[in-house]
Amino acid sequence: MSMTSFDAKVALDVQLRAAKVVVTDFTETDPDDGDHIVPGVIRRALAGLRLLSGVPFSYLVPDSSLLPPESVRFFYLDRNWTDALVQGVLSIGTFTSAERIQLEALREIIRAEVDEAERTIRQPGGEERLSGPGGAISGFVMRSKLVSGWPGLHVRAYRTDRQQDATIIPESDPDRLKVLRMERLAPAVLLVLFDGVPAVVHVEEPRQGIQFGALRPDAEPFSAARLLPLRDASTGADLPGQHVPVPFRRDSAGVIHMRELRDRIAGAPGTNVGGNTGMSVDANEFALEMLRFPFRQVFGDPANEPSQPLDDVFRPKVSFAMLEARFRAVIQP
Amino acid sequence: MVALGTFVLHSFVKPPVTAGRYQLHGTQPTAGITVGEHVADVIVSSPRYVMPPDQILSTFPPAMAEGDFSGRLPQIVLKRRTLPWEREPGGPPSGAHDPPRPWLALVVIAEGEGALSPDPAPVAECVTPGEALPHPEDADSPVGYYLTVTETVVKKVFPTVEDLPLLVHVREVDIRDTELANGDDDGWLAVVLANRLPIAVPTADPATGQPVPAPVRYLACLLNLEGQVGVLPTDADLATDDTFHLVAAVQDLRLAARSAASTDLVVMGTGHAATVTNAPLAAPGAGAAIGPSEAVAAGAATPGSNAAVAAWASPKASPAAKATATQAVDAGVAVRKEMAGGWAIDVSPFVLEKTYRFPVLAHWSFTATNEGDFRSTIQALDVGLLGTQYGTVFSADPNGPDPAQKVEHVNLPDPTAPPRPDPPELAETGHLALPQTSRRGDAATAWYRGPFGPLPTDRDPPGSPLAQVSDQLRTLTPDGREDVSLAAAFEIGRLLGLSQPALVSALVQWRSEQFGAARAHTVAGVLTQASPFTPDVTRQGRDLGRLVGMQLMNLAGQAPEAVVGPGRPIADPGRPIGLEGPLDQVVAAGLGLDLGQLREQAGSRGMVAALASTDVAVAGGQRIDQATLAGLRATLDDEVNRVATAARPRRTDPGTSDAGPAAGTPGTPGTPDALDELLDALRREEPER
Repeated sequence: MSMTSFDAKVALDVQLRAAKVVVTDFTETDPDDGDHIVPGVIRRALAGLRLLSGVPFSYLVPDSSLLPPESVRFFYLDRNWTDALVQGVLSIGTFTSAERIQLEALREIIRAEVDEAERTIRQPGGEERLSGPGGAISGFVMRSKLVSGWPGLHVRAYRTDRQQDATIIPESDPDRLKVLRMERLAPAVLLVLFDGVPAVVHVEEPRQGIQFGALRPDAEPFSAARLLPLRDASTGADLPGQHVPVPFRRDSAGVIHMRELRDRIAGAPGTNVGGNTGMSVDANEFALEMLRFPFRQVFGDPANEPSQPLDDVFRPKVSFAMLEARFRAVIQP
Repeated sequence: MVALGTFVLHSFVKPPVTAGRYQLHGTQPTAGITVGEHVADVIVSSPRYVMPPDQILSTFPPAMAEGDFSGRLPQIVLKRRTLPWEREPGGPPSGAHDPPRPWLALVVIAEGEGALSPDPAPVAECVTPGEALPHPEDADSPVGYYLTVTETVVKKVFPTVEDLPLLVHVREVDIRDTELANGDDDGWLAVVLANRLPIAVPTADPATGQPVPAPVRYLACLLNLEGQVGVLPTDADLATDDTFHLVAAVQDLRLAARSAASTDLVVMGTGHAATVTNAPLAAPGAGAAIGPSEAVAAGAATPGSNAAVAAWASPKASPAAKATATQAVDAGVAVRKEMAGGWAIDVSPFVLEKTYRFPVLAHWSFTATNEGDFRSTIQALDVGLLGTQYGTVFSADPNGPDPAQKVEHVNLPDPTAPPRPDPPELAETGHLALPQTSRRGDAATAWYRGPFGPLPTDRDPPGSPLAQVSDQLRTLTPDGREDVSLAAAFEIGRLLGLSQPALVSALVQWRSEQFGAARAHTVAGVLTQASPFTPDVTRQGRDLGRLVGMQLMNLAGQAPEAVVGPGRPIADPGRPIGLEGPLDQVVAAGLGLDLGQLREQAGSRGMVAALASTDVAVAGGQRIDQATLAGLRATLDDEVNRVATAARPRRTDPGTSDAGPAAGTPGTPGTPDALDELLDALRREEPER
């Protein structure tokens, strides 16, 4: 071809042909993220949008009757909706036909890479980094005083019902679903997105908010007495049938006589308390005895009955061995 | 980090130094040299009068909550594990093996048992009058709240000196499956417990006479005990029982305050009986289980618990507190006032016993009833797929076969509840009919569904067309109405993208780089159709200009006359020299000759002889003698030789005598000029090596 035939028509033709080409060896290398054609800043922003960060709440739940007070609503995420969201972002700055043709050529690469990036938005420490093609996303919105009153709810979703398992399996386990996003949208509204469709969802009372107390006889709502079931402080195991009545200060309403309670705990056989400090019962041993189970609510098919009582799943333990030396160093210099 | 789903309890975590001023002395022992001592003042700061909100993770019971807390001890969770041990509380010496004593205590008082300062007061006034905390300059805030309580309440409700270490411990929890996971929390938390179970007391239902729970409001205060540990009760003072009194408050100051229309009457022990009978909510016979309460004001021997219970026959907060809350402008102040509503009593004028003040770092209030803990609340949640109007709940079904049994049933609205606005039209697919104004201005309804649906949807396959404008995503449903779900998603996505200029610029820049690389590929392909050509399109070498330039050079080299045009002439014409006047005059003037005299002599002897006999005009009028001339000549020769020797090309190969002119120097081999002769002479002179 001679240079003289390189005219405007050819130039336009070249532009249009170039717009259809995706240069796949034109990549960005991120030591943490690997090689990608779409730059990281765009991928992460689009993946965040896919997980609906920043989308006004009225777009998510268009009417309050869909989410009445004290309710939890499960849902499937409509991927076409989130794809339309991403298309809206991509449409920014496309003015000419060539730019639009180029976007058409890039769309599959963007889609595949943003699918992959969705799993990197929420990466709790210690959990494996997961990757794979994009699949179905489900989740729930909870509007309840539970969200505001018990901040830090534990939420776990399982692909198969593994109620029998006392240990909590990591997110990389094939039976467990990764939590893609968990965020409080309002003080009392919690949004959770799962990477898949779970069979059961566990919502558990926050552990840092686990409470202490004693039992009131169920049948007597106005009983003025409380019973404290005991545990073995060295193993955390329950001592079945062993309990002490909780002593109260005379002439006061509900104030526990701690000294007497301590003596009663220390006096009961098998509790194995005391001896690390000068007190008959240490603060953490006392906490262990007074601990009430965090409650775990299981959402799922009602036919899946738990095969074991939930109390067996949760077994508290205090490990003294590692701390004893340090305590002694601190209090007996 | 602790294992998944577990937590570890620790008795205490004592910081190496407590809050206060320290002096750091540094010395450098060096032999022979004296190095001055380094002294630095260090202030270790810690909250003292106000707990920063970011240090409080959670409270139990939740603030303003209503529920059954009668089996649980209230607690506050602090984010810094060492916080409860960062100050020295003082007090009686503890045993050698005792754990460190915390300076914080959580005290729960029922409504009427104490008074919270209505407004922040200067910190010096936050402790019992007459007391002063050590180092008053160590204050994190100029003002703070304080709690005023009587000695009776301190003795009955406050923890004992020995209890203090027992009520504070540290937890190390796993936070990976919570909303805290992506923050900077490490899972180490300090927990301060109260020693009191918040109970609801029974009262008689006016209709049936059966005992029903009467809510009791409690205020939980995180107190600074510095310097006042001594006023706390000790274990030795206290008697114990296996049951507690079902009274709302161990001492009700509100009653005293109400009866004290005039403090004089109280102080003088008169006038109280009439006011008590006038108490508006007094409900006699509130149940036999109610025990006697302390008489607080002088002579006011009224059954205070009765009034306290009766005051709560209506579970709402007192109207006075509400009124205060609405007057306040600041929301934070409004909430505080609301929370402190039942505790805003000015006790000092009429209480005869000793009162104490404690700084309050944080406080919140809650209401104890006999229902509403975590378990019952989560089980009463209305569960359903998004788009269901009435979900199911797990509770006793009033219409079921056994009204006492808890079962899962449809959560139909309570017929006695105020009617809610009618929900909009809802399709099975989760689409909602929302009012729409069409572009022509017609009022219509359009279907909309957010990203959440009750049914799984198929995602469009990867090759499906890309929408460029939102109108492309508007669809028409079979009922003739428009479905704008995806179009709305497109628009909000575009707006969210445009709201982040960094994203927009990254997007545009990336696309133009991609396009630049693709165009380089294509243009290069067009330019070199014959030979397959792979341009370097990495980020460094994707310069189209350079690429095109190289191609152009190649093509131009093949046919230079077609591309470059006609060649340059070998020599350019010289510059014309301007002469003014006849040539002989110019020459004569330039040489300084007298032209007229020269012509005269030339007329007689001829021009050559005339010139020979004419002296050359010399500036300065001195002539150079022969000796000087010879010297100058010799100097010039030496200098020329030196320059030529330096410039002469070194002979690299002694075999070749003639390396020609310096290699690389453009030059035409022609007749040798003076320089060539000089170089040849040098070459000849140089001895063979």
